[in-house]
Amino acid sequence: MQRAEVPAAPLAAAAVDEDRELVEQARAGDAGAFEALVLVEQARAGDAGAFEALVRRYQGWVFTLALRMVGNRAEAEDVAQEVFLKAYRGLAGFKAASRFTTWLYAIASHHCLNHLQARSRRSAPAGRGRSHAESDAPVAVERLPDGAPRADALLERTDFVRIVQAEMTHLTEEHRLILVLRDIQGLSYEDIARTLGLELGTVRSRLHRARMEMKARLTPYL
Amino acid sequence: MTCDEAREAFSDLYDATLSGAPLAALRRHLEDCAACRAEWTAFQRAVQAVARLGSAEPSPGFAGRVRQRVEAPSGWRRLVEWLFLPLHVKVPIQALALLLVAFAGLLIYQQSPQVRREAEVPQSGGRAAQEIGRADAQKGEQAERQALPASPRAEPDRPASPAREETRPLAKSAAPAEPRKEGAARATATGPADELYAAALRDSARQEHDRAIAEYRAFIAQHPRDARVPDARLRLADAYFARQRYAEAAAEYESLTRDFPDSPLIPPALFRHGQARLALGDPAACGILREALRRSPDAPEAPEARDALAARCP
Repeated sequence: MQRAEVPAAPLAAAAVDEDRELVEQARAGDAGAFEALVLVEQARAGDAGAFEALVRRYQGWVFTLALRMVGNRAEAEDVAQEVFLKAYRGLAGFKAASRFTTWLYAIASHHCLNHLQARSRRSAPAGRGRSHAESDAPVAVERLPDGAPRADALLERTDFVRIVQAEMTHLTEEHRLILVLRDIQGLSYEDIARTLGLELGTVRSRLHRARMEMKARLTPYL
Repeated sequence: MTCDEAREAFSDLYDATLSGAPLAALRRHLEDCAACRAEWTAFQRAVQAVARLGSAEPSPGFAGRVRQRVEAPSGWRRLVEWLFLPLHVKVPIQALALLLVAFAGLLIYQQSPQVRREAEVPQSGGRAAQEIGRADAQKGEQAERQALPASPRAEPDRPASPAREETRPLAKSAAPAEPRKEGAARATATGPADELYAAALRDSARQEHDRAIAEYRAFIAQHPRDARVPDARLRLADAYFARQRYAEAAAEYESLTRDFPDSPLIPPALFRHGQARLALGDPAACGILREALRRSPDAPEAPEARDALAARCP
């Protein structure tokens, strides 16, 4: 990451003034967090190139979250762009005491939820239900009356990943989000709690319910 | 440990956050309970399937596009730039345009009294009265005030009544007179009474009868000595008729004939009073129509009245 290769001493000194924890992180080998903060400082100072470097650094994470939440790539790119724009506009409010990733993930998570809620509101007058999933699911898996998937339908759609994605869109937005954060993005319970502003116990119970629901949905295919 | 308790602990087991006695109890339960073991296997597979969705990357150039949006000026800034930049070109043009607009406004203001006078000249000479085609008064203004209002027209979305059907031809012939009369009223509008009357005429012409009713009523109440009161009362009755409020229409026609027995508006008022009574199913309609025919056997409304008498007054 070229943008992060900046003279360490003055920036480190500035960071010491702002937050000693950051230096500790750098000393402890958490160079990623330190580099991110350096880029944040440069972006705050008006360096658009530094912000682009930040985007490049976290675009995969944000895009993955958006894609798994909204279900299609074009919309996910729009959502991801809006997340980064929000982040850019909010850089002034970013506290160095918190990790940049936690701050960014919180923006991304809440923006995805807001986006889905707004989409549900827009589609509600057309007679759709509580979620957009019925219409926006990437794959519509046919089921027999007893709930078992049709064999020919399965044969036609051998891409199991798409089936899983489709079934995920039937979960509530909160369940989908916590599944993505934990089982796809690999965040710890503590990071999820910080990102979503939840108690640890809530994270634990919500994640369990989301997983159990997903198990019930995927059992016919497993 | 029960099966429910065991299954509640699946997430903790999967994430390896269990230890000690709870972990041992769960393992023992899974060894002994085939159903929970199957559930545990399905649970693991489901979570692994979700995990296998994996990460994804946006299309190439994503970061650059975000940067472009970051660097793009905001909406208001773009507007300001579009309006004023380059300053040395746009500001002089805008200043010149402002001066021209101000000059044009001044000219219009200065000429407006003349325009008003020009509008009044043909009216005083009686041309406006001829255009209206109704009045026989000597002066244009009097002609406008005493001009017969248009025949009442029922709302097109209402069910047709016999009276409405019968008055349709007259409504067509009289309709063109309305805008001209409105224009005359506007041209002479110099006070509250004129403005109110002009507004009522305008709303009648637009068939906004409810508003017209309110305006005629206000005009009659606020200017009871105005020479146009008989006309306003006939128009008010017509507006009620058009709204199929026949009882109120009949009452207005009746009071007009009682209060202004010498007015040239009485013949049409009598015919329409009779039609309104017919619409109400009132037997008095026959007598009123006969009286109207006796007084004005050649009036435009006479043929309709005769038809109505033949059909409904045996």
